[in-house]
Amino acid sequence: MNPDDPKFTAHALGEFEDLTAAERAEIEALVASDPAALAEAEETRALAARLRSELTAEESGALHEEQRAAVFTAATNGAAKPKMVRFPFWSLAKIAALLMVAGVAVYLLLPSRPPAQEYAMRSAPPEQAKLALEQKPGDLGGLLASNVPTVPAPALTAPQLPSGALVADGIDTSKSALAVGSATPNLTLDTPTSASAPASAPTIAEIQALTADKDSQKAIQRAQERMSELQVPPHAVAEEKSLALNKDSADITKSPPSGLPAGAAVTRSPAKAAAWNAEHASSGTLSRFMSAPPTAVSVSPASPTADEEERTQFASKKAESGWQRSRYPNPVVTDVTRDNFAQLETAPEPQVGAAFDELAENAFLSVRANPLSTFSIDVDTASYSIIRRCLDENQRPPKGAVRIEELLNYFSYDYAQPEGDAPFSAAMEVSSCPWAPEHRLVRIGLKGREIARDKRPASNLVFLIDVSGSMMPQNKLPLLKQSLGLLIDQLGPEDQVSMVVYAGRSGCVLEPTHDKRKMHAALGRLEAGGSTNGASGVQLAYQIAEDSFIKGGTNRVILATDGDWNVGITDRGQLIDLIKREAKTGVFLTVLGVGMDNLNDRMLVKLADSGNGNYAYIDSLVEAKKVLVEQLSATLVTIAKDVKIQVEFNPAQVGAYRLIGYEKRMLKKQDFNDDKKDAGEIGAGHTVTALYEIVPAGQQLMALQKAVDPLKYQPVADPEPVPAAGAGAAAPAKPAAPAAASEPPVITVPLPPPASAPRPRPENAPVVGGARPLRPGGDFADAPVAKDAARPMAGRKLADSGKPAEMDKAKSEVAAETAAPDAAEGQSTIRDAAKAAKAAKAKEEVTAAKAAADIRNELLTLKLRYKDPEADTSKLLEFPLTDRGTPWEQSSGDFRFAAAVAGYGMLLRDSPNKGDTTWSAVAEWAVEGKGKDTSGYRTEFLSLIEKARAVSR
Amino acid sequence: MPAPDTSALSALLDRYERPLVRYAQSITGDLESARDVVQETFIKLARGEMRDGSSTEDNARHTEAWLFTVARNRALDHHRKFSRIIPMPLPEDRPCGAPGPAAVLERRESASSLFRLLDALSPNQREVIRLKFQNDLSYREIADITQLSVTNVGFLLHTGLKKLRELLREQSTPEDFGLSRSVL
Repeated sequence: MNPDDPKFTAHALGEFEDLTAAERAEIEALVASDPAALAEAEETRALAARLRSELTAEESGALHEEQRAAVFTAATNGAAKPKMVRFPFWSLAKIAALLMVAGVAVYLLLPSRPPAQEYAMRSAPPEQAKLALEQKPGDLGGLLASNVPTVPAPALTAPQLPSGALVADGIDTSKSALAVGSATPNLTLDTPTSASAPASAPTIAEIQALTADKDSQKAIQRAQERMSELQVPPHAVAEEKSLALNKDSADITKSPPSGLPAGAAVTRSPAKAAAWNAEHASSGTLSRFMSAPPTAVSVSPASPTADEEERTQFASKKAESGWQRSRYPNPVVTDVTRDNFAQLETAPEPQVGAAFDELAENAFLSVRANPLSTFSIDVDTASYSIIRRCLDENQRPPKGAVRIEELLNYFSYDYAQPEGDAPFSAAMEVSSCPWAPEHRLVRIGLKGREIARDKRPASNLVFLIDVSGSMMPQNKLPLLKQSLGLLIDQLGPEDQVSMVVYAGRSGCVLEPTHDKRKMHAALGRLEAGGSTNGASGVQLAYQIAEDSFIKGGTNRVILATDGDWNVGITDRGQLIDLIKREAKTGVFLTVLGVGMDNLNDRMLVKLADSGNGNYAYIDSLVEAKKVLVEQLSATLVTIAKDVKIQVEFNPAQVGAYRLIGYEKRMLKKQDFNDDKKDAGEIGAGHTVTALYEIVPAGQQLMALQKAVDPLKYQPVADPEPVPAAGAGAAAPAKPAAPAAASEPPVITVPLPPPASAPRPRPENAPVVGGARPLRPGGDFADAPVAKDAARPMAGRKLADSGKPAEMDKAKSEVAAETAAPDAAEGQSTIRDAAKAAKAAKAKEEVTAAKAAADIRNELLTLKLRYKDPEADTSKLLEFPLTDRGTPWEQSSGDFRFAAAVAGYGMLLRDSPNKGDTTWSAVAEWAVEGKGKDTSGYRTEFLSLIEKARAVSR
Repeated sequence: MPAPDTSALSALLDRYERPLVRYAQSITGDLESARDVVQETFIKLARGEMRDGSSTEDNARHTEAWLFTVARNRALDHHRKFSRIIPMPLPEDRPCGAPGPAAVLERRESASSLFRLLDALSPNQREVIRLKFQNDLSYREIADITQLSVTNVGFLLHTGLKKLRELLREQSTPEDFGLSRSVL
């Protein structure tokens, strides 16, 4: 028992009924013994008292006199009435005749759907119907206008059905309305007065329609099915716009064309604009039920009677309703209705407090067993700002928030621009590892091609902004508004922006426009309040992005939120699936996180990953400037997608390695060549950095060696089958002299080479790989030598048609030193080790010697796969790296700085691999690597080191 | 149950009319529909649709819970049908990023900061808090009215109160507006 248990609160509030005696005693004991608990209880009680006094003081209206009178009349008559019956026996006679006429009229006028599902009947005590109806001028948005006659509607019971009149494009969003309806024996009369038949007609027709039970049931079903095809947002759009953009409605009406990008392939917008106008014009009348005076500006002139206006709008809405059909399923609705109340809240709300995923750190892996390291690149930077935010508040950052790859990638490094066609260049550096001097540290750096500001392709941006209640604090929505304002100021005349907000409902608050004034205005009007319904907002945003897609340009949804979704767990999965689906449409995603009290970091990381996007955390305006101004091109313009890295280590040089960071982005080795596997995106000018800590061959890595017993049947450790690629694997039958040295250089193997490596570490470079490990016998153990390399390859075989890379020299690949080289015939059959080795040796000894030696000395080969942003097949690049033994003192500034950042991350995570890292050491390396630091971020990092040291004590 | 007689009805009206309208308004968002809802509710009561409680003392609380339940259902129906609006104020000339805590939403007439904070809660939390503190209903009654389990109600109240406490704490810390990084 502790104060975090809801029962504790219950006790504090005096709710003993639901506590067992034991629980009650426990709580009382706790309060008596623990002053902190007592304080909690007191605080709760104080808050309760305050709530009681303030809430009861809330103003409340009372019924109108007529309404009270109606109640009394009902009482007088009610006593005589029998219990509600489901069939209007007594009125059947009366209405039968009218039904005929009515039915025909209604069916002619209504849109083509079963009328039953559109109209709900509200019961009013028969005698009072007229009075009751007249009471509701503001309600129903004019649906129940005065021309609805006094229908002697009996106390019919029929399932509640939603009113369709309101919704030109379909049924009310809430399915549960129907479910609820069927449980409540009540009848409401909502007539769409848009049906301009004799006013009484629809009413009665509806009665008829509804009184048939099974029709109602079917209607319900049909309505439910239909709802699943319809889209809420445009409807909600209407509402939004009627309120928020009333001022603008005239503008929008007049200027839809100007809101479209010139020359862009946007075809639906005009229709959409008109439709939106029609919708919001009609809903303008509905806005009457807001306490403010109706501010609707209708496209058509305001009509004297509400219903007439309704009718016109209804008609025009109908006309436009075609475009609103969405191919997406109905979004999750978080209305507080009886059904989903339970559904939503049964699983306890997880978003109480910030949520971070804790991932296990990458450990050292032996090259023998794992010669390939495969991961997806990542350009998220959120972790850095989140940590900064925590440190600013003198809090120790949670370990789950520390992601070293994001720390490294927060900074830009001085990597060379790419040359040639490739969208990015790769550079590598090796030096000694500062926290483990006997180890080496490899830094891999990718640099995306920069784009000049004026050459940036036109952008089509949809801001998707969370305006739920939790976004109220200064550091959330207000900060976001400023940040996005900065972004807007960077845009050019070709760029267009639209905005969608989501809270209890979602809606578009700005249609795609080039007009910066409008963008700023819409941004400025945003206010927070309501619950969160993320899913429907997401759909709407992508819908708009697609509708205003700019071919050849940047199309992106920018999601800004604290991640506090009020949807249940299953719905979160649905949300991710939704994002994944949407990502395939070619619209990328940027996620901007804000706030800390309930930041759902875990969710935002996943969303950015699923949506082909990047995730940045905005803790201050300065950060906003970095992400949205300085790095605008990088944030907006994707130059390559699904970028994957696979590193093959050379067992001759490397005994074990450890990838620092990227735990959330690890891939299986076969995923590298699988174009269907999603990976990270790289933006214009982005740099991506990854660090490997290397244990050189020959060094004992005690931990690793002890972990796994030596194999008995396979002295060569790895039993994994390898696809037979172009070459056979050399079987190093004997420690013969560099037999393989004579083999011709090998070339890129299209498929991942086999993982096995000789057990005793070979002195020389082992062979290049490719095929099935041979098992000639116990000779392998000595094998090392033979493989010098090259595997005779039939030719340059590349699995893809992509660039063979900047490689024109042989690569060494992981030793699979088990296959027999087939140099002579260049075939890929696997031979008996000894025989093959001899043959190989005999042949190209001299010519290949140098190449082989080079390969032997290589440390690793870096392979990259990427796709052009609009392509589906990947291209391959390869870069080998040889360690020249550069000592720390000669390493570059960027290298030292990166090492410092990695050290900082390891200390914050309290990593078991931190070696000799200390805060002072980290500071030292950072200072050494600071360089010119024109942007100031590296200097800031120095101060963060100090703060981190302070909170880590 | 036989319809209550006029005097009983009158008493009930006097006692519950305003609280019910207030509650209904919190669901539907506007006063008029709240009035309709409450009228309907009482009409149903007047017609004798409520089932008896097991005893007379029970009856009183039972009636109260019944009234709230019916009002809630009616209100939800109303809300579902007619209200699709995110509470956004009418366009006004506000400077972009106006300083100060949350802006007042249209519905909120009360100047009390507590009401504004309530809006930061989820609708379920809000409702349960209203029922508990504004109408003084017990966990059990709230569970019946909202069709949730008692445990759920307890959980909602617990987290709702916790959240309010946090927000109150946040509010009392001076807020920085500007470029400084430590914006709360």
